[in-house]
Amino acid sequence: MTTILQKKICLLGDFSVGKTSLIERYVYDRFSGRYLSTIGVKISRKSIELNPDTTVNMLIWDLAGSEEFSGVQASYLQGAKGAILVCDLTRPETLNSLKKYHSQLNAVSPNIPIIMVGNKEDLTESIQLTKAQIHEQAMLLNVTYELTTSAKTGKGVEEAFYELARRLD
Amino acid sequence: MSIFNKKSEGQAIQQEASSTHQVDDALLHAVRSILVGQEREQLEALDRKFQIWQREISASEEATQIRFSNIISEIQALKESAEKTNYQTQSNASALRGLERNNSNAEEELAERLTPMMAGLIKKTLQDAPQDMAETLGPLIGLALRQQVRTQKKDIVDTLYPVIGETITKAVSEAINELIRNLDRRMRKRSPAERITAQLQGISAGELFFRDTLPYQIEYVFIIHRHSGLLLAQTSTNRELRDDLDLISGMLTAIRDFAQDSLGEGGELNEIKYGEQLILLQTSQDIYVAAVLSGTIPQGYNALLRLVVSEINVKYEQVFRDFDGNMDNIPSLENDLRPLLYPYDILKPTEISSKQKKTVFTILVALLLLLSFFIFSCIFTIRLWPYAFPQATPTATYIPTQTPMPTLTFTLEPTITENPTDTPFPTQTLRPDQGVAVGNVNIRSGPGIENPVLDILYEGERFIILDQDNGWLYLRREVANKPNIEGWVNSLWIDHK
Repeated sequence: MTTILQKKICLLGDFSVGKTSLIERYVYDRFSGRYLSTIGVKISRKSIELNPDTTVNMLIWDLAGSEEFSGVQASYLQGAKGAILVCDLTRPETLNSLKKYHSQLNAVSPNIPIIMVGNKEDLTESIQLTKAQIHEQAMLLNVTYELTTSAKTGKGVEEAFYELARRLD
Repeated sequence: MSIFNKKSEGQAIQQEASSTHQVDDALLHAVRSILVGQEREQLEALDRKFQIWQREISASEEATQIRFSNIISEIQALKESAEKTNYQTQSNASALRGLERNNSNAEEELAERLTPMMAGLIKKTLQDAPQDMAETLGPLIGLALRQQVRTQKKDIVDTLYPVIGETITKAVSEAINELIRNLDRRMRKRSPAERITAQLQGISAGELFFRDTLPYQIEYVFIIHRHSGLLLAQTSTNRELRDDLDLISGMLTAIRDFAQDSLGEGGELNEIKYGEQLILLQTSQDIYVAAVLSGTIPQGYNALLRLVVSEINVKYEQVFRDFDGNMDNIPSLENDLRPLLYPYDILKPTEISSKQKKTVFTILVALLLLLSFFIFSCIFTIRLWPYAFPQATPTATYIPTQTPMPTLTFTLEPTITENPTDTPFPTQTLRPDQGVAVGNVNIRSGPGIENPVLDILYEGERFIILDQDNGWLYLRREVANKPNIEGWVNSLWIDHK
């Protein structure tokens, strides 16, 4: 008999870092993206079979990020069991913003597994962040796993979700 | 011989002269050479140059002439070419016009030929590939309809009204008929006790019946973990579980949170209405329940929702608090949710409020009073019966009839009562020649309103009929203390046998 684990995870990051693009390819969508601009959240599902006995149903809360405001709605972070922090490799400032999101997350749901993702790896000509910088930020925020992804090519996306699912309690 | 001599002589002279001349010429030539030889040579050179120039000019003239001729020829050729081109253009234009005419004719011919075939072609296409036809024409028809509705709204309304109006009328009629049937069925089933129940609930019986009769459908009920928005359990009346309810649960939670953050913590989002569908939300400490229903909310459903969610929360409080996403730890909640799917199995008036108690008391007192009055009436009737009706043989009473002109059987010489009583006794039997006034009526001197009034026959006064004439009766009033006047009255105001 397969054990089904339902987990709420949050996807955090500045506007236009590619959060929505990251989940568009690999998740079951029920709602359109306009919810993001209306109530600031869109929920999708990603099921990952960790092993024959365990399946993780991740309810991914894609939270609208904004550089203009201080962060995301705190209540949306309640009950989260994991999170993915996303930055844009072509915009160094988006890496710095992750501190803000991490702080918010930590205040509402402390000690949950977090994956840090540097997205848009396909834009090789414009990349301004190195893996070392991302690693440094990850160490600073006590994030245990970081990787670079490309929502466009799909590189690293599945891995990011799988690694998070593996770390969920 | 002489001639010959002469001739020879002449010749000799001539020869001599010639030789002399030649000598002169030579001399002259020599002189000339000495005097103007240089100039002569220059002249000769100039002459040669002149000749050369002349030749050159001549040659140039010839060349120019030739060139000019060539140019003229070219111009001529060009002119001819232009004329040809012009002609060609005109020809082409003419041909084009001809082609256009032909084309137009051909189109008309084609249209003429195709028109009879179009209906068949369309019919065949509709038969062979109706889906393709619908896909092809669908957008066009939609566009055309929109355009027509915009520009010819009134015409469209006028055109569609007979169809849509009839359809709507039929649909409404069917719905009303169904409603009436339901009402009738339920009304028949309702007992007086249930009518009282309606009163106790503070609504009219009709309203209660109406609420019960109105169609409603509880589609889904699901329990959501309040903290995380994760779906804990779901159930449905049609047993079909949706696989996206976990996402809907999450979005509902987000909307609740959004409403609370926006409008303040004091309130709760209790319902979301969308068209005929309604999502009722009832929150408890660790969970909240969402019920998706369509139609009219059954009476008391909100209270039931509150009760059920509270009971479930209390029953599984620790489970919900320790919930970490492992669905194996969540017990089956189907039975707990059943009352929310089938509320009429449970919905009964539970607790009587003070107002309802007053109503009950009032009804009971009224019933008691009615019962007492009934008993008193019965006793009173029984006791008074012998006094009210001492003899069982009833007296014959006069029953007035509406027949204005009964068959008169009286004699013109009636037997007059020797001792008439002073007051009329309506209960006494009237003779055929007797009558009583049913209203105040004039006694006239003749049968007609043009005749003068002699007196007034008042209601209840008796008289004896002596004669009649065309709806008028000739009578004599017989009332005590009044003169026994005779005269004519209109029979409409008279009752008599």
